Amino acid sequence: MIKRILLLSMLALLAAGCANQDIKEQSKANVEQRDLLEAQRKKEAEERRVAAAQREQEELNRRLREEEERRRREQAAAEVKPLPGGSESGRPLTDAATQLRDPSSPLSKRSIFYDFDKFEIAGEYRDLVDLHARFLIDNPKYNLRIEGHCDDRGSTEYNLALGQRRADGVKRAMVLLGVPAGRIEAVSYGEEKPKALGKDEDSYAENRRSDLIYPDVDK
Amino acid sequence: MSEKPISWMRRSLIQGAGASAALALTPASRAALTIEIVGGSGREIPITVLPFVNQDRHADRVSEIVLADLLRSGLFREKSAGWMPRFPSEPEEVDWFNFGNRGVENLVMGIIAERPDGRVAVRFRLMDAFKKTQRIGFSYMVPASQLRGTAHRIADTIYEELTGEAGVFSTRICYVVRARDRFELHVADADGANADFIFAHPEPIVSPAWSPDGSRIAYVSFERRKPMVFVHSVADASRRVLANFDGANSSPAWAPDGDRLSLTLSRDGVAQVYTMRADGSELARLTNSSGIDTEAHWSPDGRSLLFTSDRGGSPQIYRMSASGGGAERITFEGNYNVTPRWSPDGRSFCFIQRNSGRYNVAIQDVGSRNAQLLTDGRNDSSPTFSPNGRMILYASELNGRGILAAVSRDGRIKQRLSDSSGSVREPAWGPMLKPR
Repeated sequence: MIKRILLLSMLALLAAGCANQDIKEQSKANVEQRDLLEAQRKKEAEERRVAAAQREQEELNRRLREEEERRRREQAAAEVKPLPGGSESGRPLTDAATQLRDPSSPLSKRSIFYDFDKFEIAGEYRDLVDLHARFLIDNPKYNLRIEGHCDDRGSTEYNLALGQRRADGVKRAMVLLGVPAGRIEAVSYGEEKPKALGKDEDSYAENRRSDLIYPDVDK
Repeated sequence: MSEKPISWMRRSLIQGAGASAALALTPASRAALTIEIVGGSGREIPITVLPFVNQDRHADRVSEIVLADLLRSGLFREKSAGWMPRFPSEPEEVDWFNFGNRGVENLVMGIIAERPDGRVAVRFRLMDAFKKTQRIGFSYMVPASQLRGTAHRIADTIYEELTGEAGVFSTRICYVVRARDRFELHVADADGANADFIFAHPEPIVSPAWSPDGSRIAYVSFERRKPMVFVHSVADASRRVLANFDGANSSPAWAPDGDRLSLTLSRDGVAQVYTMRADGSELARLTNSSGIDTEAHWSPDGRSLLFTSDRGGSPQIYRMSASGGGAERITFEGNYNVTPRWSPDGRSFCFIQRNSGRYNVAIQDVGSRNAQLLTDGRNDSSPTFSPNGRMILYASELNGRGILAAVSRDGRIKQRLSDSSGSVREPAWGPMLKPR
């Protein structure tokens, strides 16, 4: 880099040395170069204008195609009756459903965990319950199913009652927050559906839970 | 119910002697429920069962079934007569001198005779080899397909004659098998033979309860994605919903008269005990507490119920009148006592007690309130008395798998039963059946 600068300086000194005799030629060359640059700029501007017009046309065509597609779909929908009991799997996801499913959304958290033989909602899950209650209020067409679970130690039947108490507790909290009771179903599976199959405290803790399930979105 | 071939292997560890011997292997192809004796009474009655004459013509060998039944009870030990050149079927053919010399005390002999109509006559005698007299003897006329059942009845008769209490070899048990992709409610003979499912579903099945006459089983099924109580007729496989109220419906128990059941419902809030008639009518609430009340079980006289309640802060066992009213707490040791089951004589009850992190079967005397721990598993549950009150069948775990186990009410005799097809749990021992 430094070598190049030195070289350029020496060339400049040499040029200055013979400046007088070259001045006419130099200005002529400058004019020619200016014309050349001008032509170049015009050509580029023209090219940009053509490209923009082309893009505009393409955008227009795309919109026309979409419009056409939409009309066709509406036409088809108007002609086809929904089959009773048909699958809804082809239904596009709404924003609300996306919120429930998106792993980065807080609504994708669906479990409340408990201590052994306890059914009270621990403080750390208040926000979760609150969030889902608000979601239900904001999205009246969604219903919630709460499934209460226990670890598999002790009595099958006592655990069934305890799981119900856990699910009912979450339901009651949501009803107090304004969700109509009729939109929440609280069910107990007792110790019958463990999430973790280990026989250690970590597994037991994972199994003592209430799961929040939106039947319209989940499975 | 179809008859499935079963093989079963048994090992007898006689206490004190520490002996371990492989015993009789009955007709065999596929194991259904395998029974293993892991402890004995310590003072077993010697028994010699000779092969019944002509029994080799039939798939079910009567003498082997009789002997296996008696040994499985833990109250008998075999005194073999393998040294005999040929086996007598009549007292007059017996070489009493030889028997006496070899320490034979109780001798069973018999004969099977085919009749032209296809039935068979089975005759047996239990002889006192010391006195050279017959203690008891019967003959039965049955279809050849009922030879196994007849062998159980012979074993019941011998058991009662020699121990003074009724035998339960003719009774049946039911239990839930968790197979790979579904739950199956099985009914089997008390020895694990003839095991077959009467109901199967991908959703869980729990809490089966036999009606007092053995014709129906009430249970909880999750087939409609919530716990509901069903009543299932064992004979004709018909079934109907008994309880489908809001919330959980569970814990069915039959009153001794068979007309009413108690059950647990959460329809009015937290789980409480209710009663209704077997046809679903006359629903009445029995308990009224702010805690969980469940697992009600009727006393044999039908006048009171035991149940589990956590109204006092931890689950404990309470007793109340069958007509309702106040309840009295009757367990005080530990902070987790659940699943009470009356003994058939009404003098005691068994239950599950937590002790330093383990859940075990315990028995408590109703009068003295003395309690005794009977098992030492990690997670024992669902105890159920045999109808003679001698044994308690319960669910346990072995190598992470659900198995059934049984323990005598004095804790001395222990058995293990396991099913090769899956995890087994939720046992219920059926009633004593009236003579056919």
